[in-house]
Amino acid sequence: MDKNACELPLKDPSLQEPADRDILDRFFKGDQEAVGDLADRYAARLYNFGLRMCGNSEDAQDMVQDTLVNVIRYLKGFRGETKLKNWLYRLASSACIKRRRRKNRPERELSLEELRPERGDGPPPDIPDWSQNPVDELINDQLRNRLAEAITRLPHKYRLVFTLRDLEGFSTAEVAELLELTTQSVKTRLHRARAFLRNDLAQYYQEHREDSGGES
Amino acid sequence: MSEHHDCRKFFERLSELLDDEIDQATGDRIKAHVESCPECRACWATFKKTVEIYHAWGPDPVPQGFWDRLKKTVRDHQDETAEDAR
Repeated sequence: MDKNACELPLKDPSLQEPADRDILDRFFKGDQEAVGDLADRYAARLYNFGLRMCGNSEDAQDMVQDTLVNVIRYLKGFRGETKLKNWLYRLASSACIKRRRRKNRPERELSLEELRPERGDGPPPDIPDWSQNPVDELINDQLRNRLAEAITRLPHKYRLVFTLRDLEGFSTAEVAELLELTTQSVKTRLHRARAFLRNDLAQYYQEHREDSGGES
Repeated sequence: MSEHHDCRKFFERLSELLDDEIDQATGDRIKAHVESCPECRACWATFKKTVEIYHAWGPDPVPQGFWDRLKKTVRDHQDETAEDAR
């Protein structure tokens, strides 16, 4: 066996997804291929996470590299207190936060009052057509570009929660654990992010409507 | 309690309702309000659809060279770790 092999068992192996448990087993038995297999399994997802967070491909790739270096450094200390996937995303989130801090840009707060739709004096609104159409009829390249652009306008702390929760599929409790927040903070930030993006989409479809002469 | 006040309270809880992270009684009250308030009904519809759209967005493909660069990083840093251990 490789003299670098670590034999410490995981606290609760059943917590891990089977493929991750296999990789961890092999890693702790000294299999040098295990980290590469871990990278193969998660790198594309982490890249997309980085893309949504950083807004451009180069920074997203750098973020994945930074995360992978930390995986190599710290995996031998992983005790399985959490899912491997969650641990990876914690490293990736930290990499994103560090990058953000380096840019030293002040963070804007989103207030619920500014995000609430305005009530007009006129007749009550109809339910917009776009909200009634099936999603697969709505998604096209133009919309995808708008979604990507809108996310980059979300202030970082809301973007991070939204991306983890709605794009990466973590639960409220998992996001709270990953980011060391309370579940209430996660819910608050998520809601403001969604409201911001809702307003952006409403504007997008309004612009579309105006461009096509009022047909929706 | 004014209807406008209800609209504000309802708006605050939209995500919890969508994610089913709200108690039954409050959820039922909000749903009843949505039925009766055209502004909130429109807001709820667009809010739900927004989240649905983002859920359906889908990943971008990784760029060319991504995997080669990744493999090199793994190799380089594993060699470094092995060196440090010696």
